[in-house]
Amino acid sequence: MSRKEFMEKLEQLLMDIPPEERQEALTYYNGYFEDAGEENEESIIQELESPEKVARIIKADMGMDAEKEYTEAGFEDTRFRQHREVGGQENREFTFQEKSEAGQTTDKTTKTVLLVLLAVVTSPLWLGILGAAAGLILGAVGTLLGLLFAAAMIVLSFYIAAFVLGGVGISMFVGGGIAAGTGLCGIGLLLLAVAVLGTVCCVWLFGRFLPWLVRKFIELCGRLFYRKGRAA
Amino acid sequence: MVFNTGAALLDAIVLAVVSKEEDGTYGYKITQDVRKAIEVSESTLYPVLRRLQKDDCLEVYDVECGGRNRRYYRITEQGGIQLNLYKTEWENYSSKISLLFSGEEIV
Repeated sequence: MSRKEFMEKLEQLLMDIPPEERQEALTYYNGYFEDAGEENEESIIQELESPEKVARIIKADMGMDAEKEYTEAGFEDTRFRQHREVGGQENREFTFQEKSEAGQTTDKTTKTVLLVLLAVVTSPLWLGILGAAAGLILGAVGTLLGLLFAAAMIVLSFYIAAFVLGGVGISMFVGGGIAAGTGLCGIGLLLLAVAVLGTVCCVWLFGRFLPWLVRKFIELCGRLFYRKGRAA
Repeated sequence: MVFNTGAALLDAIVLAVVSKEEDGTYGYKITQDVRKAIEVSESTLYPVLRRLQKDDCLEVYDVECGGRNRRYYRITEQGGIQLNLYKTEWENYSSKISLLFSGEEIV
């Protein structure tokens, strides 16, 4: 490679830096060749290695002070050879790892922002689902409470019917209608038996079943939240 | 040499080399002078000179020489202050290590 070729290639490689910087660098290396003299041209080109390397060094130094390091072997880019000098230039010598970690943090922030945006955009959908789920649970609770209340009311109505029939039966019995009165009293007693049985069932329902159900429900909720907490 | 030359030390060496020439000096000569002290590649010094120039530690001017302009570098007042700082730091740094190597106690 001749000096002319070298300089042309270098200029081409520096096209992406500010024109002023490019001109400075080209002036420097042109002057360097001039001052070294024609007889040294070949050895200089050999030592510079390649226009690519020279361009890389120039670019690495532009606004990227952190990634360069000078060694006796010339310039070394710490991105390619991870190395940390003991002590010395704390500010100038970071390793590439630290840089990439910073990049990942930015990535994370971007991801979070995107997730929040997604959540907001899809809010009609998941709010609907959430509403439906809440409605379903409330509905189930309401139905259960209604059924329990109905059971209690049925038992109560049996008591009322039993006492009414019993009362009517006694009054008929007193009034002379022995057969009808006895019959009504019997039906009343039968209803009373059913009502007492119902009471026992209700006591069991309210005293045992309902607390058990509530306990199970709370346990289920607890497990769901616990799992969520662990996942987060 | 098995020891690497850090960026600050290289800055200090270049400043010292340039400061020795009251009338300024130029890229090729600076490289040759630096190489008398440490081994550096030809491509190492341009970014250093450019940065020192931007930091106002060096100033440049062109002098006509053999039908073309040669770019000269000269140390500025600020460059001188910076060089003195580096010299003090180096004295401190190197003397302690020398003491350590010689087996004496560091006080």
